Amino acid sequence: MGGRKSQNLLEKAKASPYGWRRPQLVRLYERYGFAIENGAKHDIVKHPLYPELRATLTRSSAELHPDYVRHALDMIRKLTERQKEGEPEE
Amino acid sequence: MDNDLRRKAEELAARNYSHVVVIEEAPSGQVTFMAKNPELYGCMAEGSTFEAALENLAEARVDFIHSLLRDGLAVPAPASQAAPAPRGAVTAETSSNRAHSNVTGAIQFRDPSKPAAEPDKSQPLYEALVQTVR
Repeated sequence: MGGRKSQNLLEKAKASPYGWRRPQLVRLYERYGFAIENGAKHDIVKHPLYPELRATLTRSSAELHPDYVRHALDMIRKLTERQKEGEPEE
Repeated sequence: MDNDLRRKAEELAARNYSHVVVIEEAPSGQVTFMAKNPELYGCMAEGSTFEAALENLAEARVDFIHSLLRDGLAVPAPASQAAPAPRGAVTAETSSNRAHSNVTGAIQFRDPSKPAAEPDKSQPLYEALVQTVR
């Protein structure tokens, strides 16, 4: 997590939530440790260590509504906060 | 076992969750509707119309609750169950308060205590961002 490719994709999402498609968003999620689980009609994105961080994800191959990307950014922000909280103090 | 959980998820998802629909026009001109249940953080579904977004949300809600149950997590109750809102109260969210968003068309709030007004069809999208809390 936090590699250059992850950062680039994160910066791209921050710059614009428009024009994203599912495979690209899945890559962003996976680079931050999220897993994709199949539901009956929609997939579920969740983090194995922070199960409260989860979201539904469409299986559509069309351009995604920007709120899917905004939500991914929000989950990554919360994940980063939780990980910082869990770090030992210097 | 999983069928039981699925049935339980369907029962729980059928409760009176509030919902919000956001209409957004992308720079490409594509207009999409995103429906969410504010009580269930992360539960959302899009659609090409207001109705389609809500139909997809109903399906997504079952999958979302099913995943919570499978992981042994608590399923948040609908807000209306915790504190009933006064009749006619409306909640809505627009993308107009987002710096990088464009709102398309007018937003109308419908008060269920009054007869529905004829929608203004001169607007490209109308009556699309309405949520009534029962």
